[in-house]
Amino acid sequence: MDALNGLFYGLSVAFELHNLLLLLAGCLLGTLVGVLPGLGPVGAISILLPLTFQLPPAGAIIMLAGIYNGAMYGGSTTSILINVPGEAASAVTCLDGYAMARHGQAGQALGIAVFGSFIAGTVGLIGLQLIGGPLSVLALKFGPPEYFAIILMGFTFIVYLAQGSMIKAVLMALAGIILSLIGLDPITSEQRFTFGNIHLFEGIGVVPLAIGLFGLAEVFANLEKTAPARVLKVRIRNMFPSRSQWLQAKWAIARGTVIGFFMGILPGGGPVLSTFMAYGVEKRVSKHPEKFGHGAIEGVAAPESANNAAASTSFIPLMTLGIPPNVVLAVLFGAFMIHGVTPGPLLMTQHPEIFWGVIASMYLGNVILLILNLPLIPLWVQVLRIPDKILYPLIVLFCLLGAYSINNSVFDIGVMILFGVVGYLLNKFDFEAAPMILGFVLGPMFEVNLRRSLLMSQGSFAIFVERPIALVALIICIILIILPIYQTIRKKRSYVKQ
Amino acid sequence: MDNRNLISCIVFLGLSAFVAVSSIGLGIGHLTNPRAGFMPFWTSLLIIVFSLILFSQTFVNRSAQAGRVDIWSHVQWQKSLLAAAALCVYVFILPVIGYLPATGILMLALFKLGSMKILPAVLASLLAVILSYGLFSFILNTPLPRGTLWF
Amino acid sequence: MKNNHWFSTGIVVIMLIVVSLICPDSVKAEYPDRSITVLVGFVPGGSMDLSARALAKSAEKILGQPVIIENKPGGTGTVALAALLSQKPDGYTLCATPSSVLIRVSQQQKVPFKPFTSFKPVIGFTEPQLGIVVKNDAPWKTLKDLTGYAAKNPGKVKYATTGVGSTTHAAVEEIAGKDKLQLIHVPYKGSMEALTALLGGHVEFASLTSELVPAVKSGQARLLAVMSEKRSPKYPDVPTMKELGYDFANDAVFAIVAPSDIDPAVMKKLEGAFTAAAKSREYLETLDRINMIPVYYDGKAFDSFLRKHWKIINKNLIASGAIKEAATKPE
Repeated sequence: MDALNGLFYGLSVAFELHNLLLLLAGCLLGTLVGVLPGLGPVGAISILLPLTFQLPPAGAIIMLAGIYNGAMYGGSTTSILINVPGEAASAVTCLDGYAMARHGQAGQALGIAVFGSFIAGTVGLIGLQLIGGPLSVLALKFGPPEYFAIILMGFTFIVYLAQGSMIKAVLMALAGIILSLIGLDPITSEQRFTFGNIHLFEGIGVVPLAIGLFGLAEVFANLEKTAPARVLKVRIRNMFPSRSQWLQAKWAIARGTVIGFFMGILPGGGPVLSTFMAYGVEKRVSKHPEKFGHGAIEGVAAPESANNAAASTSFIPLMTLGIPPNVVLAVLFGAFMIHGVTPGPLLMTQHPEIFWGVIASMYLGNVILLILNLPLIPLWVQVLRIPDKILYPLIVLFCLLGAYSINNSVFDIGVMILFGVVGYLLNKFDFEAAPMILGFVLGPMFEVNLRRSLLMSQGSFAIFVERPIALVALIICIILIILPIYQTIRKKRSYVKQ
Repeated sequence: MDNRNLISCIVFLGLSAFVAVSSIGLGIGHLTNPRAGFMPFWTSLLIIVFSLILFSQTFVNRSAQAGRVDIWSHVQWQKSLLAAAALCVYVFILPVIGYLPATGILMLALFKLGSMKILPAVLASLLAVILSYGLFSFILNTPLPRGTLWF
Repeated sequence: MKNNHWFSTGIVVIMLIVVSLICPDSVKAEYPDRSITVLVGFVPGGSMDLSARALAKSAEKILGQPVIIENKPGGTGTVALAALLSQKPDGYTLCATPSSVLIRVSQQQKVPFKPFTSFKPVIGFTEPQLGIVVKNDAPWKTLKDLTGYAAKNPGKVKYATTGVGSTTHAAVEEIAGKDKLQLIHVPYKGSMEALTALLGGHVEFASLTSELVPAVKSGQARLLAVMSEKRSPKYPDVPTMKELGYDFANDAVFAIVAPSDIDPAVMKKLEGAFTAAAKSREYLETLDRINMIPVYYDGKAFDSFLRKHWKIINKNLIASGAIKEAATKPE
């Protein structure tokens, strides 16, 4: 079945009344759990899994995929409104999204996030449908040396995350790496910095860390302001992005989509890394990089597009190879299995109604979510009208529930509070939290892929230059490091000449 | 000279010294066979290098930049301290007395910290706690912590 | 007046809470009179989680009360067991765990419980499909082909496992030890990552858990040997490791355990209910779909299973140099 016929067939499956209702229910629930920080799609899908036992497989998976997409749309809401990232992939959105909200542009930020998500999600689906097979073969080519090179490239984006001192940003990223190393050694299972505590065996979670550093730290900072914080209460003018904002954001959406598209296919931390990369690229190409961090609309559009494109394309390895590239899709993989369907290369021929039905329903789900989310924006913006004395305690409650619900762990609440205090002190000492998150996410991947590569090559570094993908990534990496240094030197020279 | 940078340098140096020493205990290995201490050791060395750069930068710029910055003036830091303290107490009593009472007390304390009147504060905490409990337990089916004392 | 109204509402709400707090304790009905929680030490969607959910679903029909799965991932599965000990031993909180957490992880890491005595096993109910696989285009048709190639090319053959010190790793160590092979171990986090490395051609073979089944079914990978005691009904042509002369069999059985000081009457009820659930058709069908192998151990049999394999694992771990002695005392 070719792509177009397949899609029509899929639409006929998706438009069956019970499937349509299940999709709608999935989207609604996904939006709800997406807005709640922490809980997210993993929790929601596993909770609903037993309820879908009685459903036919196609309907069940359509509903669960709807939850996943819905959660991806809702993920940025709390980042923008109250600086609480619901997942690692929306931590970057906090930087400019929350800044926009403070300037009374919460509506525009949420709007561009929704539109960016819609466009990127749909483009990702087209990619999944047309070139899913070849892309998944490419993804398999990524072994430890290739990952190592890509991650090294990811580190160079610290340069673009820094708003103030570069040295301080590098220090933060290094501190993030150290924090990420807490736990059992990934190769030898020795305990590192765990102090014998079993809760630290698997390290500290990125979501409690991010919620603490961003959300709770912001609450502390606002509590101590002597003048009542009126910044948030700037008149909320327009609910939706203006024409000029659209023009500003359109290329950011396009570039974010492309980056997310390719990073989403890579098993492992693809989506998170894609948001950092998309943000870095925007700041690099922007004519006014100084506006980033103070409410640049591209800083919201790019990462939000990237993570939704990545969410769509992450279905490629699942549907074509039977490999779930992230935790959410691993749960979805479980759902496929429980319904007696094996995702993989045979899915399209053995269960065309599921393969095409799910793809078609994801197109449909994107439309439903666009229609569902746009009217919600004015409603979300009302949250900012709640008086501070009521809003801040509620944000704290939100942070607590978010940190708890990932692993149902009180220990995670403790971690979140600790990093709330750390984040508060970092602000005081003029350090930024975003590079720390980047270091924290990349650190373990960097180490494990370096060590795996060296195990494979028996200690020879030639492995990194013998393999073409790794070599290209390393060359890009070197250019990315040298270019900004060269530019600063040239600037200084012309300054001296003058 | 920015006194904040000096303090952060000292903190970073102290932490990285601790990490470096523990890494040696774990075994660093060498480039061809990195062991458990490899990554933390080199990362902490880099931290030391960059802290020293930050330190020298601060020292060189001491005339150019504003001098001492008092981070504790013009703010009611006592409020943040109280909130942090309340949260710390909360983490310890939560597993003992369970979600409903512990969170109720915490919310009450936080609302009072925002100088709300007692009655609205009580009602608001009750509402917040019961709604969140209901949402998680009945709609999302995720049990919130039960205490060992009650249920 | 308005204030008064608020006040009375507040009083009513507080009373409701107080009543709801006191009620469960004051009513003494026959066990079980409310829902039972089963803790799972791993993330949702994995084979431990899915099989526990399948068993719970059948058990709740027999017990007449909901059986809720609560995921408490962390500590490579030990957090959930530690959490079980902090709960009242009233039979309303249980834990579903792989035997490997009790007898393998606890030898490598110091854990806050005694593997033999802190818990009373209720039932051992399933085991994963463990096996050794190669990619479909690999030249080796049997395990012998593979070991023969590895013997001729020392230090050239790479293999992926689900982690250092895991059962899948131990299986290959056994092969390498017996045939005196020099292999390169590339550990991954979990079966999926290891499978991805195999399909990408980054390693020559992989030792995996149940996730191998879909890949074998779709023809992406070839199964050379299984690690169960008997041949798998799904792959009657694939030999077990024991048949091939390696003294190794799967030591990871999934079980339900209760705190050791649980009331014997409650324990009896639980054993009856879970045994019936483990034999129900619905449960066995789900198990087949998620590629798990049904096994059955009652509490006593599982206890002796643990004691037997503790010794074997201990010997292997010390021989491979992973540990000098067990990090936790078993009793």
